[in-house]
Amino acid sequence: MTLHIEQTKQIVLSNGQIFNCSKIDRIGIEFEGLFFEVPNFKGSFKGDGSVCGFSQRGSEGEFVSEAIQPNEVSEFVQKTHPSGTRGTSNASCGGHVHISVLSRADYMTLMTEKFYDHFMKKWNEFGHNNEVNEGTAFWNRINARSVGDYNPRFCKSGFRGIEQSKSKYYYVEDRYHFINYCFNVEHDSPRKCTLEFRVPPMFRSKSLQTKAILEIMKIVQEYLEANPPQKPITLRLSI
Amino acid sequence: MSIQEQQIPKFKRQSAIKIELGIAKSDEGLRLTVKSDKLTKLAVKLVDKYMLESDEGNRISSAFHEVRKALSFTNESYYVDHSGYLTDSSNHEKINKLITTKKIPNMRFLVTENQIAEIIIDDVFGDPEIQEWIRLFSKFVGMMKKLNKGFGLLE
Repeated sequence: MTLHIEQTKQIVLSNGQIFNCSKIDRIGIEFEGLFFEVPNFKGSFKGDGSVCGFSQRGSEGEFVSEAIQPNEVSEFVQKTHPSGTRGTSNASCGGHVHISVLSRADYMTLMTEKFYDHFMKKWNEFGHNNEVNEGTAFWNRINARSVGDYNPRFCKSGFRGIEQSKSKYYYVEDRYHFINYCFNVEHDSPRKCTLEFRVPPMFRSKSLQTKAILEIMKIVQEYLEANPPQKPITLRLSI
Repeated sequence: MSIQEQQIPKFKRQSAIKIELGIAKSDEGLRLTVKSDKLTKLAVKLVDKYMLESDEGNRISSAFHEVRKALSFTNESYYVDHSGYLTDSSNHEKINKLITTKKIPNMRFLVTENQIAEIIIDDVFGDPEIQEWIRLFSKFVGMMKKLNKGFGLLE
């Protein structure tokens, strides 16, 4: 039997391994920062009030990707990340990742405290495994520490999935959590149908930023593989 | 009376309406399935009874009000229902909206001539919400049972 997996769902990792993200539909990436030159690749730039604290000249805000295929992530980071001659970032900036999945049932599996806790455990492990330094934006965000330009109000801990998933509006306080389940949000599009990971910071290094995005995709994919949709609930009654 | 007839006593239990509610998370959303042979008949009779009681100015219990609201017919939908509205996409859309906005297991979808009614709500739900669906569905079925017993609608 030949297992057909779309090429757009296959990612070749830096160690040569192939990662199949068959459960994932599309990816959206938001890079916040100061852009010396605004990228021109599969996305658009807009201002963002939470981005602050830069003394250099440039465009402050975020570069928001279109809904891209999983195998386009690396190229997107290479061509748009605000680092080097293209721009810079600080602790106020987030590297948000939107993920849409192919099945509503899978979305519901992710919209649980169990997944939230699992994700945070894995995200901590990612920090340790990649030797992310203590006191950096990565850990400050996880620990909700207000350091320098970073305001933890925009990225709080805790699971608020059910409340978030009911909102049609993007600009509501509930979204400012590590994971924002913005399934029904009708902002710039008919309905987002994504979950947004707001906890990643902007890393200085493109390779670590790519790794972080791929790690989130991997956590989602592996969790869904290990947790197939529950069997139907059947209720038998009589009158 | 023949022996054969005597062996089939008319237990009240024989007229019981058996209901099976299925709730499943599917690729398209939340799939609700109801299998029942006489539930539709009871639902229609309850609404007819409600209208009769209202017209006659009789006192209507809060339980009856609540069941009527859950069934939430309008005159228009009442007639459309009989022609099998579940296949009509515009009505399907309306039901989706009703269910998601009212956040109750609106039981209009029971009213079809088919013995199996199915609806898929194109939205995502958390486990506590699904539990609440089950609780409310059981509550409404319990209320319908009491009303049926009181009015003897399916005797």
